[in-house]
Amino acid sequence: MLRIIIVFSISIFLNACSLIYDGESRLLIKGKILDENGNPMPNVNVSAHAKKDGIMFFTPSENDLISYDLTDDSGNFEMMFPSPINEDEIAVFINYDGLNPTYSKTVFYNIQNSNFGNQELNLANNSLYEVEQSVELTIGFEQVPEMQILGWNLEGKVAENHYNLSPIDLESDVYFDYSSSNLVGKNQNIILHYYYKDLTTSEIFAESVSIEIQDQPIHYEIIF
Amino acid sequence: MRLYFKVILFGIFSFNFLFAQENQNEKSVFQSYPEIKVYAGVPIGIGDNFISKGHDPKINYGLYVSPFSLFDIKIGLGVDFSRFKVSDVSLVGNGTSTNMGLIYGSFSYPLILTEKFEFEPKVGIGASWIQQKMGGEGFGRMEGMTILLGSSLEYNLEHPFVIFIGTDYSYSKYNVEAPADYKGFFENVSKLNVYAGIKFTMRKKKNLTTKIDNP
Repeated sequence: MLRIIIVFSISIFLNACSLIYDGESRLLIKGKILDENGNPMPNVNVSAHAKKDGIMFFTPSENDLISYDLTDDSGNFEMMFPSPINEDEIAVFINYDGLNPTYSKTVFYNIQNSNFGNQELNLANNSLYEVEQSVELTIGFEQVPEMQILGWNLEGKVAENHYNLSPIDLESDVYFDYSSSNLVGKNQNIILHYYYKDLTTSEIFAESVSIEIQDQPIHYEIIF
Repeated sequence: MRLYFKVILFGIFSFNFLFAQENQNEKSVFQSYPEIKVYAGVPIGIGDNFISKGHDPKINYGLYVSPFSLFDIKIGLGVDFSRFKVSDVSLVGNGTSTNMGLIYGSFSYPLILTEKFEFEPKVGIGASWIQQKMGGEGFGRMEGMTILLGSSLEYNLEHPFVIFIGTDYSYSKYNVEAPADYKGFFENVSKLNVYAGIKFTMRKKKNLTTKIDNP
């Protein structure tokens, strides 16, 4: 009897962990990959992943792979797949397979159903740059008891860039990325988007600031 | 599934037993000579759809049962399964294989070519489904309707065995939400099955011959 209960419990647990896909709902994610001069980049790996066991990792192999493609000669990619039913978050990883190791990588994460219009998400033009031309950007934040930093992301040439496509949708157990040390391209203006919560009112704020990057490492401190 | 087959077979042979006496006494419009076909072959996706563009063929197999004829037209029921291997993940997702299933009813009309050979065209309609698999787990299911056009060339061995080769064209319509440019790509699926098999029949050749000589 005990054995039956154990087997039954394990089967329920495994079923609970499995992703379910709706074959009658097909999603398309497409876009284009360019180099920093605006030229199309062929043969760049792009992959779409769903959470594994309820967690999305920034290492693609630790998530459930649901589709992938290589960019064509025009730098275009398209990925179609059945819509995950019991998991509403998808992430797209660009250039994570080592085919173009000298170029930067990008992740679009926290992609929700609401990001798709007519079953389609167009990630448009994505620029990768040669990471040899990088300097370090470190980010810190002011410690204020009533303010909680939720996370940030960078817009510009970043060696491993994480874009949160649904940044302030706290209803769906969202999380934010923040990494204190980032390699970024030299001689550019980086946009820092950061999100914080006022613990006294539970209100969430989104701010953006431009940081000038030259050819030396730089530190930026977020001041509330 | 085995239980369904047992029930169907029991029904067919019971039906035959009940009407056998009638058939012996008169050549009526109704004739009960049950036959069962099993076959295996290759499914080939054709046209511009996600099966043909995103998969390689693996295997097709099925079972067909005809319990009786009306006006020399055989009425039959069949189940047909096709398996494909995913060849383009960017079109269909990271599945490993895709299975297509069909349960159909059909009408077929046997044409006697020679003493040994028969040609049998058929039309059918049924309910179909597509189940994508990722390893052993489901990766999406679709359900729809299918129409079937096919034919087989049969060679009579010693009674009650017949061998045959055949091709079936099927067109399936599924109700799918997809990006506008790809809606038809997932909704309309056409394929061709090329197969060979063996038939077990209770109809002897002389029944047909007698019928042709004395309609």
